[in-house]
Amino acid sequence: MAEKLEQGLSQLRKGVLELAVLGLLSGGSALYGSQIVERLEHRPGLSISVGTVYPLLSRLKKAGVIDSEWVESPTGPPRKYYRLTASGQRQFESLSRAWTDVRTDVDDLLEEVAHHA
Amino acid sequence: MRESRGSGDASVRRFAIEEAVRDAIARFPDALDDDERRELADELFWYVSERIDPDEFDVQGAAEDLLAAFPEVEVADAAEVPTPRILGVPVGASHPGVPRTASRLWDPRSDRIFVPRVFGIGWDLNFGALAVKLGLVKPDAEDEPFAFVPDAIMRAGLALPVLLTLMQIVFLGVFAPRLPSMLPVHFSLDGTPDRWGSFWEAFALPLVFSVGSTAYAIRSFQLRREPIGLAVSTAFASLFTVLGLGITLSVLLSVSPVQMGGRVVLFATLGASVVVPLMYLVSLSWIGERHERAASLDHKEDAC
Repeated sequence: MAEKLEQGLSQLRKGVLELAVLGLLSGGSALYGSQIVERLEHRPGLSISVGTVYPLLSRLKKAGVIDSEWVESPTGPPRKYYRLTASGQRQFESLSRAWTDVRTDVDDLLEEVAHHA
Repeated sequence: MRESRGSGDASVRRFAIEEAVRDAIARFPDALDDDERRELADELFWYVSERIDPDEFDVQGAAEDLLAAFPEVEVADAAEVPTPRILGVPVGASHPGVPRTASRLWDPRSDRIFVPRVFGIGWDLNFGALAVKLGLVKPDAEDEPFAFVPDAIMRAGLALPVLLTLMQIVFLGVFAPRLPSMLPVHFSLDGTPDRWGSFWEAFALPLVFSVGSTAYAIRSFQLRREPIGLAVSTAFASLFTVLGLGITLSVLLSVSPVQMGGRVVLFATLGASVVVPLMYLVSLSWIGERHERAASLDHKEDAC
């Protein structure tokens, strides 16, 4: 039973993680791999590991949602930066609208239930 | 007269084209299932009938050219599938097609060093995750592992298992006449022999390891597998040839007058069997990263 619950939680986080990554890269910002990992690790609620971020980046790139590019760095070796493609930006916008709707409704529902209890 | 010769020529050509198509189908990667094969074969026939002028068709290397026209043949899907488990131990049920196996054995993006085995029972070593853990490569250093490694360097890697196999054969050839008739074939944990056997009982298995795995790697090149398949089969051949050579040496040493510890050699062999393929794959990844980066930076300069 406990294992089932854990699986459900990890499914929930996986879906949200994609939106979180798109969000970090939205509005034309470019980040490299370990920056993305760092910024996500700052949020314990997401409870992500390095091993989930990189495969996700690879999937998103294959799907044409993000693109990568090597950029010379003034300090140290060149780094691989990720940014959203045009279709990635659109996808982020519609996903984030959908997320707001889902969140509002689920919050409302949970609040109502709490009041009745 | 002239006309009939012309038509005879055409039918010879048609036959050669059919032959090339059959040859190309025979070379589809093992990882494809029957439906994917059929679909691809249909597309291949369509391609040949619509796009190829029989008079222009170059019979030399025809199957390769046909396959090259179908990039999807190379990029078999390596999507994650849940592994069936018995009592928590993963049991591989899928066919060990090269792309899936290969991408699990070098998957620097994953942080799992031990991955459920694709074929058989237990876990395999993910050399990619190990290299990341040791700080040797970045998880996303290459978009597609080894895709940018030049062909010549890829082929040069075969020298490693080939040389190790030759060394093993040379050692056996040199020492065979001087060996006693009974040789240790099994050792207890403290390194003392606890079972004895003939020359072939002692040396056949390590020789099969080396020759078999090297032949498999060479075959992968003949089949023009995708870069990760080539890299991983070469890495595996180097793993097995290190084991083969090490076992051979430890047996030879245990009956030599030097009496150097066979156990030391055995432990060194086990260590080397991980380190050698790891460093081969890591160097290849460094080369691939450098070329990918150069291509990306060049591309940007062109755009400016």
